[in-house]
Amino acid sequence: MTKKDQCKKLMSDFFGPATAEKVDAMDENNCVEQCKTIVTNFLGPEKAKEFDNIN
Amino acid sequence: MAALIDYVVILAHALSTIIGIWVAYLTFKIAKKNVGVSTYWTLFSMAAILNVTHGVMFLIKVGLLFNLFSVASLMALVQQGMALPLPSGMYAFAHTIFAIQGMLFAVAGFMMLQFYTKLSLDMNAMMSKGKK
Amino acid sequence: MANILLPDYTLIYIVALTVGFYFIGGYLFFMVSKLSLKKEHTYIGIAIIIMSLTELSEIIEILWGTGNLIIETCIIGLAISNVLLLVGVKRIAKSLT
Repeated sequence: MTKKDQCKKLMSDFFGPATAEKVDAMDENNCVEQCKTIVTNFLGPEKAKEFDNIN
Repeated sequence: MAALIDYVVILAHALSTIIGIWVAYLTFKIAKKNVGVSTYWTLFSMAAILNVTHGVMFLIKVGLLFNLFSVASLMALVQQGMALPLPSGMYAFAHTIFAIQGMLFAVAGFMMLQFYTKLSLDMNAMMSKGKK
Repeated sequence: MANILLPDYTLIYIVALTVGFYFIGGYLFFMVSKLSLKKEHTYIGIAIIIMSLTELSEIIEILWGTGNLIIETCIIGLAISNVLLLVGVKRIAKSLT
């Protein structure tokens, strides 16, 4: 799975499919960082740690 | 002679009570984890726990069905115990509790809507910043 | 149960308020589900709207005294809607905890 796909899955689990679809518009290199920022702001740093598992 | 529907209604009250407690527990767990806006999960939890009113209705209906007490004696008990500035009568009291439950659900829903609106706006802003 | 009901309109006002609150709550959750596209939010919205319909049946019963059948059906519907509420909340709890 690409980084984007992994991000999409996590964002879908946390916020739902509508938010996950927006990940498609992100850049492959930046998507993890951007998604992590969003999750930190809205759900807290604990949940954002799940993005550290993406490689 | 109680009809089948009386038993089904009693079971429905019991189920509503159990589910109310269960939902209150689950949403309280979410609120405790402080994931997202814990306020609206706390409100949701408070709303759900008010389903125990159905538990009271369950007990009353079981009591009436099995002639443990009469309506008159029950009303006397209720009138004695309720020196509250509310309309007398257990129906009004129960529905006042449901009004509070409805209000809590409405506020929780409103807060959740705010959350998702902000999320949508923030994501759009982040993506448009990234494009520049 | 009819002799427990109040002879005045206070109960109707309270129940009408309840219908309004539940309806608004359910509608708000529908709006959330439109933003999130999460099925769970739709389930919760439906459950709360059914709660408002149950309360509406109470007003119908108070005003027109149709007998307890409508209320009893709605109480059963309410229990089913609570199952839907539980399903929605359980799924959300699974993803957030």
